Amino acid sequence: MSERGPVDVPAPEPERAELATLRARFEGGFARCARSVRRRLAGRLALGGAALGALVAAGASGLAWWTRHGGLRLACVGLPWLGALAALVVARRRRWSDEDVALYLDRALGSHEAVVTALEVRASDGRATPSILRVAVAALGRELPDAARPRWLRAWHAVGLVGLSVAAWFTGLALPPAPAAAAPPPGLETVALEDLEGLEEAKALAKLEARDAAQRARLDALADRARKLDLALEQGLPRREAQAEVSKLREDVAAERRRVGTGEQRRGLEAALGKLAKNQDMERARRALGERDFPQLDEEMDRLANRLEEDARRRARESLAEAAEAARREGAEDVARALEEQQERLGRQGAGADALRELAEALEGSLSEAGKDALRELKESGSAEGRDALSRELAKVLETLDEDDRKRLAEKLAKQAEALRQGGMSPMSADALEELRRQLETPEGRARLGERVREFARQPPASGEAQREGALDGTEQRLGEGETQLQPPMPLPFASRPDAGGFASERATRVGRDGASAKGNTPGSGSGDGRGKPSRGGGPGEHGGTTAKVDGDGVRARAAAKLNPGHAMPDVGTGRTAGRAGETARTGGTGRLGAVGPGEISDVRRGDIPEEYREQVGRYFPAR
Amino acid sequence: MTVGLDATLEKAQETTTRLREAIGAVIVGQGEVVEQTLWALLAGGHVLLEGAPGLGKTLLVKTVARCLDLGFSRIQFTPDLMPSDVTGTNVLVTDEHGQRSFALHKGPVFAQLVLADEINRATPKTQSSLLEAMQEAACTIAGTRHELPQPFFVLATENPIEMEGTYPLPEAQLDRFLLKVVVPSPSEDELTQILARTTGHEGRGPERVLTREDVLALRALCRDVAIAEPVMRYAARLVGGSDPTTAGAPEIVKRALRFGAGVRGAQSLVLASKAAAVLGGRANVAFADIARVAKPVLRHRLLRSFEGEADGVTTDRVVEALLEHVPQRPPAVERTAS
Repeated sequence: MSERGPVDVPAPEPERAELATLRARFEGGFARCARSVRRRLAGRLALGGAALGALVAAGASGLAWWTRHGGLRLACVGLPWLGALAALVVARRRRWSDEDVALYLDRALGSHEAVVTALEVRASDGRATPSILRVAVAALGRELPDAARPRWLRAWHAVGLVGLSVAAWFTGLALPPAPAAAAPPPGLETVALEDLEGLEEAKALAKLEARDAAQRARLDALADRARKLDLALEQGLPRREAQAEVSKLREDVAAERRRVGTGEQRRGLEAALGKLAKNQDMERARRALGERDFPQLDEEMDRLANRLEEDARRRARESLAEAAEAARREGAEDVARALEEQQERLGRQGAGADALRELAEALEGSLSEAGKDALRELKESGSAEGRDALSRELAKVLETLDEDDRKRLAEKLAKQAEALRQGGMSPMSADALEELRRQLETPEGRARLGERVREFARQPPASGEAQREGALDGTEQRLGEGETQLQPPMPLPFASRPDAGGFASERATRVGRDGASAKGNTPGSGSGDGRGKPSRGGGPGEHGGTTAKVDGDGVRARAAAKLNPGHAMPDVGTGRTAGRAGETARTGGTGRLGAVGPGEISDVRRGDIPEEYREQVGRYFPAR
Repeated sequence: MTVGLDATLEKAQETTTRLREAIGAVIVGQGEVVEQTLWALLAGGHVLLEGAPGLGKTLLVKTVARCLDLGFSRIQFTPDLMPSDVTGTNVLVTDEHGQRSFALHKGPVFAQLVLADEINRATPKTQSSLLEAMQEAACTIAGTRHELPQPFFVLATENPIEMEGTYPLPEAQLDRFLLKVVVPSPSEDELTQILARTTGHEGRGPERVLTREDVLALRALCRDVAIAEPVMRYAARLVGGSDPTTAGAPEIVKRALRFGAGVRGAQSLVLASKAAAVLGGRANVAFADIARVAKPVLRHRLLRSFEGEADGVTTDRVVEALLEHVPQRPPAVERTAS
């Protein structure tokens, strides 16, 4: 043992009572501090959860405001509470163990890990246990200092207040105005029209003289559909449906117009054309028949009647008869009937033309230069204009007829009457001619003769097929205008003035350019010149007027379009098929984009077949 | 009546304070070196003192030896030193009757406080003769095991500058040292004080402060100090983190180390920290104790890689990185407390 006093090592047995007291004090103090720490931690976590909830509530209420869900904004107020609740659940699951609490206390109190060591050794009887417990108890003290407790609030908890404020602001904010309702799909709006172009003409098809019973039924069906459509339009119909109905009706009318010589009758038509090709004088008539243009066929027949001599007319009638026979053999009864009608028409018109020519030649000395030119024109071309001019000149001559001329004319009339009795043909009967001859004796009789002469030149009534085609064609054209009428108005980049016509004037211009009338309930004042086929359209539309001058100073072309030069490829459709709502474009007819001929259906244009090729085909494949 | 270690701790503090003062009467400055030497004394470990010549390493050991009432011996390690010069050997002796027999001639290791001066100048064979003595406090001579007197305390010194003709201590030998204490150069004031003390008449030597029994009692007290599991885990994490093959090791460990500290390093860490706690007057180990003793305990147990040596990364720097990288408490606790 050292003189200076050794380290006195006490006996390892501590006093039990004091140790027990120390243990109790430590456990009590630790439990109190641990409770306090855990409560603070849970509270802080709950505040954090509430802050996060407030932040989410701000976003959610903003979203609810944006989407105009006003009720949801109030529900967002509950999100901070929900966040706090969730945080408490998390706090429960992540509850600190005693060891963690002790470590925290040691760190906060600066007790050099006495608390955590005491927590471990408190049950043991080691020599160091009382000392450690004593230090730990002293560190824990009677009350945990506030600085040693976890803080309730953290800096980032401030975002909760901000979020809560934003959520409250959104809750009090008026909802944004509702967005404009989406425009309905095009074509669904209801149109109500009392007078749609073409429907009256379509209804009138019921009164059109039919070729046969089958056509009668078809025409009646078309008229009935037109009536029903008219009624439906008066009550209102979706625009797309109305467009489809009108378009279908127009297609069916067009199909009816083109029915002659198509389908099963095609071979008969070809056979008739082959027969007509044998007569050079019938070339133009044959072409008109090939195109099934019966008004044109009427015109050609009149021209032939005016131009040809008796023998040539006879050959022409024979050709027509052969063609009709060939068509009938091939089952084209309609074609055969049309040709027979033309045959009869040729004979009747030819006789009248002969009489006119003979009368003119008889009075040639009395004719003026204009009359002589008209006679020459009639002989060379057989045109209706020449015939009309000649008849007018002859009427004038008859009014100023002298005695010699009257005698010569009387002889001619007697000769004509005799010819009629022999079986000839003339627009006037033999008795009527004989009566006229007697009337030449008096001025009144001569005036009546002049009237008869003019009657010779009068345009004969159209053939049945031409009348039907004219009526159907007119109906089709008018229904096409009806389709245009059903189109929604196109917005124009400039405001239309009342005197300029605006959209209506543009439509009128378009219709007028096609030669159709601009009749309708939109009285446009377009600048269309109304030219076109006189047989198509012909409505009493107003084509006068002017389109207002467009001030283009403010208009700037932005597109630098470069068009490739060149032409469309041969035998390829150029996009002229009419596009209609609810309908296929592969149908014939007339649409806004232009007329679509039968050959253009399926987007392939039919070219004119050269005559030489037709002859060769006819030679190798003769029509039966 | 006070139970527990409080009184013992108070006395231990008083005694060690007197010991510090006694050493301080001879050694100027070097307070941390003295402190670390006391850790090893209390923990029952050995100390490797490293420092440039003339910093008072040998004087420190001699002073400690004089302050402790312990048997002291000094071995000056030289290249021609033999193991038997350290441990001793059997010599043939003739008794008064003329009988000849072998008698054990104990070497300098048979002392309680051994100064192994300039230990790296002896060959590894001679160095290894200390292995058994340092680890087991026993010595085997000619097949006979001889217990060494307790307490057995080795204080070795080495010079890091003169490397020519030296034999670096093998890892096994280094591992036997509880601490590797780096002796720093004195400051200007300390140097002035040294000059004042050493250039005049020699004063009285240090007085004895502790007896053998006192040392043994302090060592027993050191073993009584408690350490909580989280603190022990921290020590384990520190040692584990020094292994470069560990996934969670710091980048500098992976880059600069070839081998980390082993089990003996962890044991040394805890023992040294207990000694530090005793010197701090506490009956339990704190995280701060572990962190405080980490450098002297671990610095000689970390084997640098070629890259680490090339980059000049010291093991002290690695230990600092470990202390920064390894958390003392669970992250949630640390966050809340901070």
